[in-house]
Parts: sequence; structure tokens; C-alpha cells
Amino acid sequence: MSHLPVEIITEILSRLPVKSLLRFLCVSKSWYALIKHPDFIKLHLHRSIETNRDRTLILEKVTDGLPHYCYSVHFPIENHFDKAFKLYQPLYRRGKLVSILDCCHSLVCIHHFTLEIHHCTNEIAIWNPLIRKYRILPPEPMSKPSGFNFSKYNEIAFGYDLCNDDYKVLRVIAFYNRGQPLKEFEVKVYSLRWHSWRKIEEQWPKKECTVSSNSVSLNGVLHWSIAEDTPYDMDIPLGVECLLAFDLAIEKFLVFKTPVQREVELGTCLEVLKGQLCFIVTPDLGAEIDVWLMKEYGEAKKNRCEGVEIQNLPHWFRTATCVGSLLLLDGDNVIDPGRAEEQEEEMHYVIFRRILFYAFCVHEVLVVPEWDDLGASVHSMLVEEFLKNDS
Amino acid sequence: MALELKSSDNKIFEVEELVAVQSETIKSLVEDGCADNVIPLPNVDSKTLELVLDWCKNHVDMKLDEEKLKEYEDKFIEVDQAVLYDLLLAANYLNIKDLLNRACQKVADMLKGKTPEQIRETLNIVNDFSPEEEEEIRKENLWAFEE
Repeated sequence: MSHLPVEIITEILSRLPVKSLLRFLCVSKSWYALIKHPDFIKLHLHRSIETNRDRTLILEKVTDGLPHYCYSVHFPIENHFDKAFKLYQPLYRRGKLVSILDCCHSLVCIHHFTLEIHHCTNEIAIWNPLIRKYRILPPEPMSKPSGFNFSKYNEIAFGYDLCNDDYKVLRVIAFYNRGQPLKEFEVKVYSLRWHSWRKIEEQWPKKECTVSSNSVSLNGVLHWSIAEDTPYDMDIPLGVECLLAFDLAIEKFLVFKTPVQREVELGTCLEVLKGQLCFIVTPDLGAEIDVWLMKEYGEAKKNRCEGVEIQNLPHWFRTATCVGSLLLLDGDNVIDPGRAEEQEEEMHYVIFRRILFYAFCVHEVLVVPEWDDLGASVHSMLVEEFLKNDS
Repeated sequence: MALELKSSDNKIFEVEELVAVQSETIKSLVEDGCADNVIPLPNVDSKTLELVLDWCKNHVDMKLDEEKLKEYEDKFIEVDQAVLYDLLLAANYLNIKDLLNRACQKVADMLKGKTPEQIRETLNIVNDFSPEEEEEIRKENLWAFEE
């Protein structure tokens, strides 16, 4: 075989999964330089998104409503799944549960899960499970304004800022006094690129509202469903939901109407399907699930949006929802939970759409201090301990 | 309209313009008005050119039938390594995007599970790392070799 020109080698390498690329770093000096180059990294990500291949599911096992272990299941092509591997989560410590907040490209944002929402200084980390590197966010204190006795997390969310090529974490803390409706909010944003937090002046727009769904990141904007607080308990939202969006680039909040104009009962789950915002509404346990796709989005349609109800749901949608998990992937892929490895247990699926090698390597090049590495010996020791707890 | 293409071993192929312009390289020549005479392709031998032209012709014929085209593509790309590399080089030189993509994907699939040594052997690459340097790099991501 005569030598292939470098542009063809690049094309071929851009189609390989991350694990192969990590192995091939030692093939030769030029391969090492090529694979680590930020332009190649961008190309690889782009290729992965384009061809929809080599995706990995990160599954969070939930028992009794609490998150436990994480598994990764690689699926090179649709409906063909490899074995599930248990993953070591970077924030794992005895006695603390780690929960996945959201994922973007191939970075997963995780934090310590606690039922006590008043602990606003839980550890948060951004993790690339495919290359097994992570970064813990620096602790950030909150500034409680005078006159308020209590604080709680209003929201933390994770997303990718397209304009600045940066991953960001949004933290909103609410300050309140028991039994009184008056609230104050503190909004801070963490930037992965700068590895630091910043307070922003933008205020949480709907002070009388509480988040009633998970957060979802789409096109550089974070989204939540929100609804008014019940008068007596701030933690339980009530009433008609609307959509709250936070643009990560301009750092501003926007409020939209949702296509689903109904009172929140069991709440809405937000997803991204086919590049569009998707609302999965479960009005009642055992009843039919409504899935809405938000077709029109943008400044012009700020106060209205059109929903398209997805008809003819395949029957396993309902099965999936009944066990507490619903999977939607980009495009038309729907995973039949019957095919996943651990079908008996309740699983909460986080959609892990892209294999990304890049974000991690790009940040190294940006002269940001080294990410914490799960060093070989430390890793294997902790993994053993981790697996021992599995009984 | 027919074009004449000449392979590196001097064989002449008469091809419909519609088929030949699947190659961006040939398309530019046609647009620049340089395609009146025989177009020489010194980087592609006749065996490879014949395969490439078959690909192009089928992409014109089966344009509307996605399934049939996919079946054709899958069968087409099942060739031995030597032929695959020739196709790669030809697709690159002639700038035929879909053939290049398919061929690259095929090679990627072949290389996926290999060890670095196997990669070097298959692609004729010299290892310019010292044993210590290579060991360092392997250690960085040891788990990628172990599982």
C-alpha cells in the first residue's frame, strides 16, 4: 500500500470513534499531531453529527427514585447495541449520589444529587465519559441579599453557546422567607472556556413561577417549562405552563407560550427531537402521552408557537413511559427498551448524541489548566471500590 | 454530449457528460471550456477508471431510487484493500464526494478495531516515536487499549 495523502488520512480518521483515535495517537508523530489538532477535532465532531454514527447512550440507573450508577452503551448504527459498561462517575464519593443534569455534544454535566435543595453549593462537574476526563467547577458562593432567611436552587442547567464556542452552566438561586411570596434571585453563569463563574445582571423573569420540567439546550438556548407557584408552597408549580428560554450568547431570558396550553399535572418533559423542541406531556398515569414538536421558533414568534402533535406513536412509547423512561433520539430512531441491556430496572435515559473528542482537546489548546485526569492507578482502585458497592 | 477520458495507461473511455460531471474536477474542466479534446487522467489507471465510471453512471441512473442505490453502493465497496485504495485516490483526485465518503467510511470501519502496529503495517507508516515516547502516549489513555 503506497502512502495515502494526508487529506485522505484526515477524512478516514474523522470517521473513527473516539476510542480508536485515542489508541492511534501513538502510530506516528504526524498522526499524533493530526488527531490533537483543533481543526481536526472540529471536523470529527461535524462528521459525527452529519453521519449520525457511533453514538453512545449514557444510562443512569434509578432505584427508588434516586440516581445510582451510570452505564454507557455504544451503538455504532441504529438499533445495534454493544454491551453496557458501567462508568465511573468523577464526583462519586461514598454516601453521595451523582445525577446527570444534561449533556451537550459529548460533555455530560453531573452534580451531587440531594433531596435537600437548600444546599446550593453542591459539586458540579463537566465530564467527557468517552475520553474519561472531567473538570469540577470551582465552588461559587452565593450572595444572599439582606432581609431573606432562606435560599434554594431555583435551577441549574447546562448548554452549549454556539456564538462563543463555549459550554456554560447556569445557576439560579432563589432567596425567600417562609410563607411570604416575595423572592429575590441570583443568576450566575459558569464558562468552561474561562473556568470561572460570573454574576449576570439579567433577572429571572417570572418571579412567581417555578420550573416544572427538566432543562434542555437547543441552538445555544436553554429551555424550561415553568408554571406559577401554588400560593402555599413554592416547590409545587400549578397552572398553565409557559416556556422560559435563556440565550447563552446574549445572556437574556425570554418567555414563550407553549403549544401545550394545559395545566401542569405530572409536568412536562422537554426533549430535542429532530433539532426541534419536543414536549412530552403525561397528563395522567396510564393515559396517552402527548408529544408535541415546536415547529416555529424565533424572535418573531416570541409570543406564540406552533405545535405539531405527533400522531401514531409506536406502541413502545407507552411502554417506555410507563417504566419512567422515554427515549427519543435525533431523527426517527426510537429505542425499544426491550432491547436495552437492563430492561427490568427503571432507567432514566439521558440522550447522548454525539461522540465528541474535541471539547476536551480544544480546551487544552486554549491554555486552560489541565483537566483532572482519572489517572490510571487511581482510577482502577476507585473503580474496584465502586463495583464492590454494587452488591 | 459525450466526453473522452484517457486513463494513465492510455485507454480511452467515452462517457456521457452527465455521468462524467459527477466528478467535480471534470465538471470544472467542462465549465471552463477545456473538455473539447480528450481529457487526460494521468493519476487513474483504466481498471480503476472503469469502476469509477460505473459508480458515476449508476448514480445518475438510480438517482431516484434510494434503496436500490444503497444496495448498489454496499456491493460496490466490497473490494479488496488494493482496489479500495486505488478507488480512494481516484475519488480524491477526481473529486467525487459520495465515492470518497463511502470509501473513507469503509477504510475507517476496517481500521476501527486495529492496534497501532496493525495500522502501521496496513498503511505502510513508519513509527518515528522512540519506545519511551510511545510508552508515554499509551499510558495517557491506557484504558483504550484494555477494553
